[in-house]
Parts: sequence; C-alpha cells; structure tokens
Amino acid sequence: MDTARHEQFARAFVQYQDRVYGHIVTMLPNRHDAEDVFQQTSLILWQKWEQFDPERDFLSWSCGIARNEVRNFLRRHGRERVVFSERLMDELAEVRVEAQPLLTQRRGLLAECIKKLDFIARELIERSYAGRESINIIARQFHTTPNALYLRLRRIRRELMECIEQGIGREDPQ
Amino acid sequence: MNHAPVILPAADSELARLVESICDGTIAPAERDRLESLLTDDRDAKLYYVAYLDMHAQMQWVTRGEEQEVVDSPAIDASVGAAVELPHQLDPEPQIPEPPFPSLSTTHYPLPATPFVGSWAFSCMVSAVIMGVMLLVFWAMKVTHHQHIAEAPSQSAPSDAMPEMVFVGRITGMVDVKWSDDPYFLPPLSSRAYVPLGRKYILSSGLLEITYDSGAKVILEGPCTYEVESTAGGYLALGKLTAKVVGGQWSVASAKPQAANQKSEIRNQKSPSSFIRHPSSLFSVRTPTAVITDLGTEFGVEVSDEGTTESRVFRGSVKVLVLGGTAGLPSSGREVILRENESARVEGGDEPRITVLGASAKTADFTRGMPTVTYKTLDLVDVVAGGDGFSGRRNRGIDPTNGQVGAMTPKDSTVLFGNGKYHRVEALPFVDGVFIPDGGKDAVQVDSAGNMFAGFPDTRNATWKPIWAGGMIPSNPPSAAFLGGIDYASPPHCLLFLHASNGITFDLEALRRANPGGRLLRFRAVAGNSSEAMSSPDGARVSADLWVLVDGKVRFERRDINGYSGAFSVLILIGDNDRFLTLATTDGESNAVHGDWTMFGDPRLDLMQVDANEPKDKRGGD
Repeated sequence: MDTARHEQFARAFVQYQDRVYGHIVTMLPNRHDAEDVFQQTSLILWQKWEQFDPERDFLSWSCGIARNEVRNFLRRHGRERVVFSERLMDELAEVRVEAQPLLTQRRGLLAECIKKLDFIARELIERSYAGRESINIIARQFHTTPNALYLRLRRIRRELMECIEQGIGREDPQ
Repeated sequence: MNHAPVILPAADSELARLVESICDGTIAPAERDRLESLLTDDRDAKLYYVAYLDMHAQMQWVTRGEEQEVVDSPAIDASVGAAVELPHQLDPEPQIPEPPFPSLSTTHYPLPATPFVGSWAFSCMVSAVIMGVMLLVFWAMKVTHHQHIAEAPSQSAPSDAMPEMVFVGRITGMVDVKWSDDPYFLPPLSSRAYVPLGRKYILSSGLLEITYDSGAKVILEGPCTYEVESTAGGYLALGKLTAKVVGGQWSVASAKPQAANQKSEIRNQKSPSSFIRHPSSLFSVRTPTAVITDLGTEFGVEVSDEGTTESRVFRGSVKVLVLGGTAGLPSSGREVILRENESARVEGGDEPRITVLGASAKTADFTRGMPTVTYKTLDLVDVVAGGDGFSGRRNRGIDPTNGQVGAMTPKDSTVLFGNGKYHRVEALPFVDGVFIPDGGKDAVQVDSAGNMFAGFPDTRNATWKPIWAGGMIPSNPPSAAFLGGIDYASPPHCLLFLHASNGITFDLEALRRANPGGRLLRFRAVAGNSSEAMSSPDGARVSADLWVLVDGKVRFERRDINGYSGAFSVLILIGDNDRFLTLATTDGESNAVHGDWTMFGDPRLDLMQVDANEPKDKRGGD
C-alpha cells in the first residue's frame, strides 16, 4: 500500500473514529466491551482498506464492519453480553446511520452544554466516565451514596439532553 | 435535510429510566427485555435511544485517555476548620500515560500465549501500525514545523524523525481558570488531565500550569491561547506564559511502528520492541512573530493582540529568533541572545524588528509560580456560636424575635411571636440577621440589604424555639437529633437547629473580608426534620419546609417534610457576587401539630484560599 493510501486511511479514520465508537456503544453500552470491539474493528478496517472503494462513504463502510464485529463479539462471549436481539440491533444501526447528520450536530452542541454545567456536575461526569475510581469512592468523596450518585448522573445527562434539544431548536427554527 | 427531532420522554417515564439503567450498567435482564419491547416498532423511542447512547459514547470517548490513571484526587475535607493543601506537583517522576488508543502502549504489550494472529496482541500491533499511519498525517499536518522550531536540527535516522502521537505532559495546576466561550473549544474535563500533542488551551482568565514530561513547566495566564505543538514547546498565539526549564534534557520512550515495511511487521513481528528515544531538545515557545528558545533558563513571553512578542529572562539565557514577513520563516541575522533580567520586544509586519531592553526596562508582569491553593471548611455552627468558622464553638442560640444572642434553656421552648421585621444580630460579625418567615401577609425581608422573598407560606408569624447552634438541643431532657441514622447533635457532628419557623442570614461579604484572598465556593449541609420529632404523638402529620436563599432568591426548597422524610443533601454553589446566604424553615400545613424539628446538620461553607500575598513576579522565584 502506498503512502497516499496510508494517509487517506489515517485521515478518514481520525475523522470518523469517534462516530464508529459511538456506533458500537449503541449496541454494546458496556465501555470495556465497546473498547474491545472498537480495537478489533480498527484492525479489520485497516486490513480491508485496500478493498475499500474511495467512492463509497467511509462512515457507512466502517459502521457496517463495526456491526459485524459486534456480532462476532457476542458470538464469542455468549448470552450474558447480549443487550438486544439481532433484529433490534440491526434496526438501531439503521436508525443511527440515517441520523448521522443529526448526531453530528448534537455532538457539537454537547461540548457547549458540558461547559454550561456547574463545576461539581462537570467533575462528577468527568470522574465517573474516566473510570479511574469506583462509583463508591467518588460517592464517598462527594458525601453521598452510590445510588444518589447514579441519580445525580442521570439528572446531569438529562440536563445535557435538554440543553442539546434547546440548541437544536435555536439552530433549526422551524 | 432536516431529520426528525429527538423526542425526549418524560424524565420519570419507563423508557427514560431503562435507558439510564443501560448507561449506568445497572440494567437487569428483565428490564433489558422490557426495553427491547419498548424500542421495537417505535421509531421515536429508537431515535431517542440512539441519541442518548451517542451522548453517552461521546463522554466515554473524551475521557478515554484518562482511564488508566489511578490518582486519588484530594477531596475537600469535611472536618471542622480543616485545611487541605493541594499539591500542584504530581508525580515526581512523570510517566508516559496510556495513549487514548489503548493498544499503543509499549510497556503493556502482552506476549502472545495463544496463536498470535487474531490475538489481542496482534490487534494491538496492527492498531499501532494504523496509528503510525495516522501519525504520519498528523506529523505532516501539525508537527513538521516543530522539527525546525522546537528541536535542534535533526540528526536522527529517517525512522526516528517521525514523532508518535504521545501525551507530552499533564496539567499540574489550575487556579481560578475560566475557559473560553468559544463554542468549538472543549476544556479539559479533568484538572489533572494528560496533555496530548496538538491540544489547544484557551483561557479567559486564571492560571494553568502544564508540566511537560521533560520536566519543563509552563504557566499560562489568561487571557491566553496556547497550543502544545511539540514535546518541547508550544505556540503562544495570545497572552502570557512563563516557562521554567529544568535541566534541558528530555526523553520519551514509546512504541512507534516503523514507517517502512509495515505490513511485514504485522506478519512477522511477535513482540514489538521499538522503543524510540528522542534526541535531546531545547524548549521553545513560538509566537506569531518570534521563537524563544531556552538555553537553560526561566523566562516569560507575552503576545499582544497585534502579535507583538515580548520576552523577559528571569534566569539563565534564551535565544530570540525573529520570524519574518508573512511566510513565518526565520530571517537570517535576526537573532539575539538575552541574559538574565534582559528583555526584548519583537514587532511583526512586513519589516519585523527586535528591540533589546535592558534590565531596568519596565516589562510585563509575569506569574513565575503557581500560587498555593488551600481549601478550608468554614463551620457555620461555630459562626452562630460566636466563632470565626474555625474555632469549633457550640451551644449558643439566637432569639429570632429580636436578634439577641445567648444560651438557650428548656424554658425558652415556648411559642415565640415575631413582629414581622428583620432583626440585625449585632453581636455576631458574620450573621447578618434573623427573622420569623411568615408569608401570610406580605413578602418577607431576608437580609439587611432589603431583599424580600414572597414565597414563604403563612406561618402565623410564630415559632416554638430559638435558633440553636449545637450540640444537644436544649429540652427536658436534652435531645439528640438524628438524620439518616446520624446524630448531628453529638460530636464530631453539629447542627443548626431551626425549629419551624425560623430564618437566619449569613453575611458572605463579611466572611470574605475576614479571609483575605479567600473565595467562597459552596454551601453544603444535610437537612431534614429530625427523627426525634417523631416522638410527638402527631409525628406522622408533621409538615415543615426547608429553604435556602441567596440574596433573596431561592436556591433550595423542600416542602412538606416530616421525620420520615429522611435527610436531604444540600449543595449550593456560591458565586463571587453573592452577598447573603439565608437558611429558613417554615411550618407546612400543620400549624396545629408539634414536631417541626427542622435542622441543617454539619452546615459548611467551602472556601478556596489563594496565597496572593507575594508580589506577582516573585512567586515561585528564587
């Protein structure tokens, strides 16, 4: 493979990797499962890159491969990792592909909305998602219980969703 | 094309709850099946799920690089008057963190115990190769010029010339940072985040310290725009920084796929071991008009809105290179060496010029060291008992009908009628005043600035006990006060007992004056109706309300609580312009029954103290 093709791959991958990861999380919400499949998907994308038709849409192609890798992962790991039926996963993948422009817009707004959170909410989100500490430890440091912390995280995510919706309303006045 | 909007279900709907459970990882199999049935044949629900999980994924994505770190971040100590000094310096020997692409770590590659092709290690290697390709682009786009600017002329082999995507350091201090409102700028989510190559930091104000893996430290002072564009330097587009370079040697060991023969590596290499050691390099700061290169030193750089660069050397020496014209290339002969206390100004334009200033010249005021930040916990029970928030005083009361301070005895437990007025508490420097909140007729004055609040219910202008800062509640016999299984009337806890209906206002400005350089961050407490109130035969019918106001505006409100309502965690952020904090309780719809033993357990104000005593350009100096 020549250098130009390498570069093409690198550019496409850098541009779309977070969306490929998001596609996987839709089907496998568990972070570690999603990471495993993302790694494997990255590998397959690279292996198949020479077969990729540059006229095609890279994101659709890579999401298709990610979908197959989710299927393989679930086959290897058995029932306990399954979240949804094959049929529903296919339907969710389809909805996701169709909604890509909307999701892209929403991602841009998410950054804005995170900035609007108060510093405690941001710290909670950051520490909870970073995965460095257990929920128990974070809860203790915030003088609360793990259950209360989960509830707080839910409220924060809800706030973020509402903030994004408001942003979309501003950007797309009907 | 306009896509159908995402329709948010009600927050308490089954769909919302189950989607949340899936994000938390707490969903049970039966709930999973239920979620499947809710999503099946409902396109709106599917779109909601997809949008929600995409947000969840994005937050996972932006924190990926930090997952491996195990550092206990210091929590604000809950103990009375505690002060916790936060270290700005983290690991004495900085380590290269896991990059965001987990398989890139060289030191964590497992040896293949299973057939290699298809194994995790194999995928790691190939991923590394992919990343290598990505880095080729990255290098071409972003880093090539650093080879000219930030590093000594490259003498390494071609394979060594390609830098890998590495984290070059980490954030080691933040003081009062306010980030840019630029919608495309996402601030670091962590105050100790690793710093990736290419990361831009845009500060509106405050101080941010970055410690490079080489040991070099950069203090950015907002407003400032700085991009980390190499492992030994960065681009200062606007604002001020101070750089302190330790030693001048640096090295980074990490895996990097060879640029050539990548596919053969995939097939043949069983254990990647290409630890690349970078050559020594000099630390450099590039600006729109100059490059300042460290020659073993500490120096400051300021870039004005017009792009004019001013550099001052505090210790050692630097080389200042003028960048010429619009091409941004060095102009030959436009290079000066600055020594200790010297400074230079570089003006851009078609005819760039450099002016060397002597030691006596007035130059920009640089922050040379991060101020020490100390967090303190101010105890409001102590404040009501006559202390300054740190002396641990207890067992004093205030009569809400006149503002008189004194001990409280069981005989004081009688009905007290107010006159509808706000009463200053002259004896306590940080208590502004007290009152009986009664919204039966008019809005109620809640502080000495005259802020009024019209939301209190009708309480007949009465309360049954004075305000009490304790300690056991004076009654016959003295009473404990349990909330959530904790007795807040016994050490190490304490309580501010505000039997409904009572109100007390703290003077935040007076507290700030008493703690120079201090910044009030938040009020926190555990609040509720003490379960001791349940000894009342009317206990189950008790109803009271809890309120927290700031400058007359409600920040926290819980209505109709009794001894079975449990404990509420109260957390109110305090802004720099907030002047008064009011805590109040009111009778609910139960004027005829007894047992409104409402209280705030362990009421605290968290205070951040920045040592602003030293002259700015002396901080952290010699």
